[in-house]
Amino acid sequence: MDAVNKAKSRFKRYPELLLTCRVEGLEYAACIIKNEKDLKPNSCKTQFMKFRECLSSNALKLNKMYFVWHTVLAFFIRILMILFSQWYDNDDTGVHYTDIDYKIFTDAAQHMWEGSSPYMRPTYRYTPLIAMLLIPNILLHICWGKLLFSAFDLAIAIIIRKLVSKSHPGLSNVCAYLWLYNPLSIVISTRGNADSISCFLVLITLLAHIKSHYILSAIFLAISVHVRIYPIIYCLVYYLSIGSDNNYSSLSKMIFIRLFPTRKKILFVVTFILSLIVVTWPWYYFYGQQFLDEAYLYHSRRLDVRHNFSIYFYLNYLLSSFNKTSIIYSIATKLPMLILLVSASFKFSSTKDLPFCLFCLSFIMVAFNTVMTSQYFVWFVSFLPLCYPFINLTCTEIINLVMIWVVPQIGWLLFAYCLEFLGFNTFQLLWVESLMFFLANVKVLSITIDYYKCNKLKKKLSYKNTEFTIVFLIIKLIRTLSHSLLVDMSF
Amino acid sequence: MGLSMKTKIILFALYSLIFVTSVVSYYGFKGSQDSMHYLTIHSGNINLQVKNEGYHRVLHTTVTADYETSNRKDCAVTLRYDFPADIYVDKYELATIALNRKVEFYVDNKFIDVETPAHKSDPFVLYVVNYTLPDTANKLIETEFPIHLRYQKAAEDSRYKEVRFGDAYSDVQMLYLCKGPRISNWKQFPLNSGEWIPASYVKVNKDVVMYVPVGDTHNLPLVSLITHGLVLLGTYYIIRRLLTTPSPENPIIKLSPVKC
Repeated sequence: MDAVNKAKSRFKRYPELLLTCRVEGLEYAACIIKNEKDLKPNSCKTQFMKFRECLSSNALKLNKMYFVWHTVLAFFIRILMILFSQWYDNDDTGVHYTDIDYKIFTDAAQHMWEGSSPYMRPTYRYTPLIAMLLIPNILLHICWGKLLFSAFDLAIAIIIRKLVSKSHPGLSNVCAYLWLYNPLSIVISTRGNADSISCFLVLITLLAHIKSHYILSAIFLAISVHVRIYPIIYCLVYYLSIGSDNNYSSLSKMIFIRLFPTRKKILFVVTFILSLIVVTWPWYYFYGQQFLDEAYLYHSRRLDVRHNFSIYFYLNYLLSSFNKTSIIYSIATKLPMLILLVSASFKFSSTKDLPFCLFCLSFIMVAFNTVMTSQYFVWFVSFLPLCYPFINLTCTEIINLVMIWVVPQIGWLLFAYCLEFLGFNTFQLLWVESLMFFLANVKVLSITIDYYKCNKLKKKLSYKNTEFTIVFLIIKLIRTLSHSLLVDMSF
Repeated sequence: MGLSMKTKIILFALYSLIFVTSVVSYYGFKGSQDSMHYLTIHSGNINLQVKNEGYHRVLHTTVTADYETSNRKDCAVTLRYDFPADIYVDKYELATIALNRKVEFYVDNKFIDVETPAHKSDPFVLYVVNYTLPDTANKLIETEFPIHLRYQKAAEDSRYKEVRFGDAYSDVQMLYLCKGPRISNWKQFPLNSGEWIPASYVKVNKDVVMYVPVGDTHNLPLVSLITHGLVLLGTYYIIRRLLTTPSPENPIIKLSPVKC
């Protein structure tokens, strides 16, 4: 089907391509006509090759041009959304479109511009780099930050296209459009959420790593960890994937070899640590321990008792009433996530599986976290376009999967609205919905693993491995026998 | 013909007298100008009303009074709210509102934690300063601003916690100061300067009652068991998938996905 689709799209563009390559086409046609009476297989090879080269290079150019147009259109959509937010938020009361974090960024930028610490703004829990990038919010216009985040969105699409074009050139544009026109990415960046910056940094790290520029990938990884702490979960798989594209006979051998420190791996680790120090130390110098507390340490000890998507939210709330959170509780909430992160890192540590592995890691991190808000979804959604060509699902199956993921969210949002804005006691219902959403997340992840590179089919076949091997040998035997029989008969 | 020394002395004394009386009368007039700016309140009430439901409310305050004033622009009226720990205001949200309206908000605490639950928070005082009295007769002040309710401690015996505000005299107080039009730099009369006159006879008419949903502590064992149980189940399910899934680079079965 892939080939048919490719051919269809090519045929659609043929008139355009033929017009561009008319000279080469005419030369080839003239050659054919000239040698019509005595046409041999390679008599017009030079002209044909020239014509073919012209067609393919122009097809690439055309592809790029389509992508540029879609990027412009996507940016235009984002600008419209930013204008809408300006109009909608004009009213002081009611629910605002602009994210509260955007106001926090702007206030922090204001403090920074006045020469004081951005952490003077309560609840600013990011690197001062973001506040610095948003200083034009005060100097130029309040929408500057939203435009900047939208620009990062477009940069993400460019990286997605580059990454996909390596394995699936025919799908590179489609995958980039999956991000450009994704409602989640549009809403997140135009509401003024800075996650598009961290997604961009995470993807550019991946691009550098896949291209085997390990020093560069270590630097980008350090910057992305500095901006948002969550990409630290990718460190293990990046380390394991360096120079480990071979197959191993046993699991223990694979673990040992992948963990074994090679020169490249040591260089990667050292560069990462040094880069992290270089990008973090200046801010520590200016803003001291408060910077480390607010930007990093807060996230590790965060216990949000207010309602959120996490399965742990109601438990956290009830426990907070007793003023005691034991060490056992901390282990019980962190250990399952840790086990899963390590398992997935080892399972998909090959460079070819890196995008899917990062998707799984982000998904596990979000689904098993003690706090979960909708802005976290963008962490794994940014990897979906990269995994799309490898996940063998039909359109109906994709819709089913999306429904499994979305329906519990709708239920949760309904009860959350009743609690937050109507004052109904829906704590227990919300908890049940968060359990449902957790189960949906587990199901979605397992289905995705099953369908990644036809794993389900492979599994079915490997269950019947013995029978498969026997059948395979029988077929091979029959073929050999028939071949020898034919050879004998020819004599 | 020159004036005699005696005449000169008399004239000097007369001019001096005129100068001194002029200066004294000028400053005397200046000094008496303050008494020209006044606000006399005979009786009054503070009416509180809460709009919306849930955690995010709007507190609407109206002060109705029988009063006399020199000019509507001569006096500033401040409402002092002593909020309990159950309620908080977002200073930055109020700053945005102050930009669009003729009011100023001051909070005595430098830092209001908007994330902590009620039992881990502190009460605070909010001052709302109005520099112009409304044109409506008998209405001394009318203002509204958003307030937020904090999460409450889970309880054993009830599903809602009652948050009452305005029942004590000290919850809302009115103060005023008359110094002429706003142009005469109000900043030199800070709220804690002691120059503001408390209108102690203007009292809250009726308190407001809000209900905050609370969790049930009886649920804790069950919630703990089911939550951890499901997490373990989910972990096991995903690990099983990961372990049983063949390696993506299987040398025997090489399959590549087909896109339709």
